[in-house]
Amino acid sequence: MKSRFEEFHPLVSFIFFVLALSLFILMIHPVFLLLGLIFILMINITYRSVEQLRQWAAFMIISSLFIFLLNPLFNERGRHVLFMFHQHRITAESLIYGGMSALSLVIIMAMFVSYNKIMTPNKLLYLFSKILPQFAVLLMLTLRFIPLMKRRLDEISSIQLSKGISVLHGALNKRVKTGLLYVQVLLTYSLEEAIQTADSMKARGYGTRVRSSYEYFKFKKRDGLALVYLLLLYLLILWGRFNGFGHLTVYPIMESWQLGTGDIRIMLFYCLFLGFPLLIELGGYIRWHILN
Amino acid sequence: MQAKKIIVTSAALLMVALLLYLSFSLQSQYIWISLAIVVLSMLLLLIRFEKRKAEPRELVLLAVLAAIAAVGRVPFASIPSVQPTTFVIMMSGLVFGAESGFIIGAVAALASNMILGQGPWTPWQMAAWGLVGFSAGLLKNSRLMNWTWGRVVFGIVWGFLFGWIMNIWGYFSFTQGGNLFELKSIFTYFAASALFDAMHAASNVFFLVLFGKAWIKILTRFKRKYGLMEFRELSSLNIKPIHKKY
Repeated sequence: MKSRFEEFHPLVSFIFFVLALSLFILMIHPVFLLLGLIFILMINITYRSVEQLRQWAAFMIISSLFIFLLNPLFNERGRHVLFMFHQHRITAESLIYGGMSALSLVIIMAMFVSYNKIMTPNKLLYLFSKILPQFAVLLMLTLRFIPLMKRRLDEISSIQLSKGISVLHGALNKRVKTGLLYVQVLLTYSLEEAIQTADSMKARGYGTRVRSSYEYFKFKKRDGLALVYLLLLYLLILWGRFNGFGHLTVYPIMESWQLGTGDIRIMLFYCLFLGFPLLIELGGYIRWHILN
Repeated sequence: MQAKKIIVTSAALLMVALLLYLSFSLQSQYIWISLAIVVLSMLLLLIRFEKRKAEPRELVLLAVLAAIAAVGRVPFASIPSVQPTTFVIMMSGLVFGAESGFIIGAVAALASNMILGQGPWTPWQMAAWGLVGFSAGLLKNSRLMNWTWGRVVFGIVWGFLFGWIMNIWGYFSFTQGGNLFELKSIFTYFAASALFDAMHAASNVFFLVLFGKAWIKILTRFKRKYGLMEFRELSSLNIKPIHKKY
């Protein structure tokens, strides 16, 4: 079943993800980052992409550890020296900075997992077709050719196998050569076939008029409202950020990590922004289970 | 139409101005600013492609080559770090020109990421493979590219350059906002990838030596047989078409 957020116009989901990405980069503050992590995890749970998240987990943990440990090793800035490591100052500032960078990277990677779940190729193509229609057609053709060519490669390799030629056996250079020979057969085969595709496109009148297309997505009133909600909150957060809220200055002198009133106000907007998909789902739940 | 043009131009100028402003005011966020520069510069070429109304034959040809570049990895699944994608894009750029080469490289990267999953690396890959095709197309009439060993040098250079472009994004994301531009750490990072880059360069060389001539011949024959991209190219170079008899 599709969730309510997935049923929004692609523009809304795309803008949500782009703006959320920029927030994870701009709001470098331990409290904000932790909240961001919680929200992204909740979004991943809501849209059932935990399994995909688990596949990325090892990579995420290793690279964030890498950042966390390397930052203090290469960076000696900061006033609070914790200890010396081979004549190298390990400072509290660099540890905190490394930790925050690592956290920000983890959040961004986790965000891309849910992005890939919600922004299906279908939706991305739709957006492209509005801005760059010809490029979208090209992309669509390519996406259609990829499975076709995989099938052709299977055919080619089984025919070659019957002649005793295979990529799986023999010396390395022979295998590589055979591999590209398959691709070469695929090239000549597909180029000839492509002309037929192109001519049938032309015969059906491609390029004679403005291309019409089946509009799968309609921009409804609620899409407009959602955009206004998201953009308004985003501008408020941005305004706060440029006034120095929601950001922990580490160098040259580290601020206190505690939040002031201005920070708390911005944090509220931040939560309302990132919680948008969750609020939408919650609203749907209330309407269905309580008001019904 | 006039109004649309003004809007588009002013939007583009606004984006550039914003980018310039941001790169001064948020100096520590260089990774994202560099990403924006990559995206904007690609947009320039994509809009140029959009302006020209392509014939269905050209579109399908570009799509076939991009799909082959993306699918070409499949037979090599059992052989680690060997893939012909760069080779295919290089050959396409060499025969069909810089613009087509760029489009093929960018579309191949975007389409394969649509299947494998997008990430912040997508624009970088699009730019890197796009530039492989673009540079091959720019040099198509040079003496270097009409000489087998010249093409081999080109393949070696791109084997490393491709890795370095991807390293920049990797390095930036590891140090993001940390202002730690240290040569030592850059060297460590680049050295770590050198083996993979060398493999990439070696497989380019292998393919170019064994298959380069054959592929150029196949693509050129096909181009001539169906008169593809002929008009645009000749008109831009201001050369009269030569009709060879076979």
